[in-house]
Amino acid sequence: MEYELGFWAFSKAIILPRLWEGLSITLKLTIISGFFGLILGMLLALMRLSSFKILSWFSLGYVTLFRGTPLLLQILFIYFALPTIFSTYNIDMVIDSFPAGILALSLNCAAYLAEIFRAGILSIPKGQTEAARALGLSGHQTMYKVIIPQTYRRIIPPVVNELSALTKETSLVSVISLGELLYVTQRVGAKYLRVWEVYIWAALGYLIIVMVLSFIAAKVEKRLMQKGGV
Amino acid sequence: MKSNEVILKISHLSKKFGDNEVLKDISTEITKGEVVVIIGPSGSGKSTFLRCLNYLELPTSGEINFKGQILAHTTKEHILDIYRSKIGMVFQSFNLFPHLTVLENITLAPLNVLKVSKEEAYNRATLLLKNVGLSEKINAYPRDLSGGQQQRVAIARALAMQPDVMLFDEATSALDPELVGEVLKVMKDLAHTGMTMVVVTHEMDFAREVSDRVIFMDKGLIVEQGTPDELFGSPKEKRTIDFLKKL
Repeated sequence: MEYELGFWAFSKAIILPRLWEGLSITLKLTIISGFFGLILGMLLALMRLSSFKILSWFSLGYVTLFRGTPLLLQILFIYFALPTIFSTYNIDMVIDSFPAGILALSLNCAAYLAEIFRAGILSIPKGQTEAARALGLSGHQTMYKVIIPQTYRRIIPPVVNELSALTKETSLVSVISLGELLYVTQRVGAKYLRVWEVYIWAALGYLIIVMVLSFIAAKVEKRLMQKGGV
Repeated sequence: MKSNEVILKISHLSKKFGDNEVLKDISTEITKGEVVVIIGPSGSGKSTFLRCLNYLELPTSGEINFKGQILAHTTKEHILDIYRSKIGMVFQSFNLFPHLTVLENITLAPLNVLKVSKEEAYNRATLLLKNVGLSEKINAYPRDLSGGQQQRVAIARALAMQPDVMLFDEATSALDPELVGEVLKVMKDLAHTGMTMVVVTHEMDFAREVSDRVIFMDKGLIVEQGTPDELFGSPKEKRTIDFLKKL
């Protein structure tokens, strides 16, 4: 009888309960991967700017690799290929689709965020570093107390861009049967042969997450603007 | 104000940028309480010399003896950090930290480098702000200040570290003419307190009135030096005479 329900009735009875399930997985993927991506991205940016050549080269290699290959391939590699590589060395490794998804998304978005952070740090005038060093602050203190705080406002727009992209890219982990938003809605669509309804709801789900993200970012940006305008 | 205690003994300081030798074997001494003004045409190396004095620019060779401590380009970075904390510097472009209030600008280094208590840092900052006439701006951000006010805060910020020597790198060059006076007044007041100062400037009146010694530099060399009366009154070198004529 579900096959004869109208749009609203079908949505309410069949799509929405599963939509919440998928949406919550998508949210978890976005928030956890975004969190690790931000930390790893900052680390990679600092490594890239480090005077230790090995760290700098590692970071450059990392960014080149993860920006230069498709995210879909990275997801498949981590989920399917990694365990087989480990098994050739007689190490038993089974990776569930959720941690595999988190790992791939974090590693990937870290590469993009690293470039944003690096550009942000390089955009601060040299005089700021000189003034801080002339006062006796160490290189580290200069970076953490003077340079990085000044990058916050100018990197918010590109970071939000990247996190919006991440939100939408979480849909790619549907290929490893992770029940996120797109995966569950597609399953519902296939089961009940209702295509356009499920895609509209899935689209709305992503749209809402990205809009909330942009809204929060705009608030933060405005607050930073009041604090010294940097 | 001058004493005989040498605070900075500079020996054979050279700086090369690639093949370009900007400083050529500079040696001089700066005594406690002395106000030294460095003048010279642009590109003479006077700013580079000043920046080498606190190792913001690493000299290619030569050394500086700071109250018995020898510093050279091979000295470890953390030793240079400590040295820099004792040498105040004021820049042409102020370089206040725009994300921090006036108070936070002044207390940042005392709190993080000298590790003084918040209370002590605050008390010192309020006193310094009073001295430079900006007590009411304590919670303002740099963007809300005029150039002259920003530079006075920058001077207070450097003084908060209680430095042994203050370096001024064309501190008034970026200011509108009507704002130069307020900054020069602060610098004069400071000179009268007995602060050791090395000042790169184009303000010849300041050099005449306040300095104990004027150094004329050209092409990376100290061409001539002496009291303001000697150097402005009866310069000996042709290059000095030519430079002073053009002013």
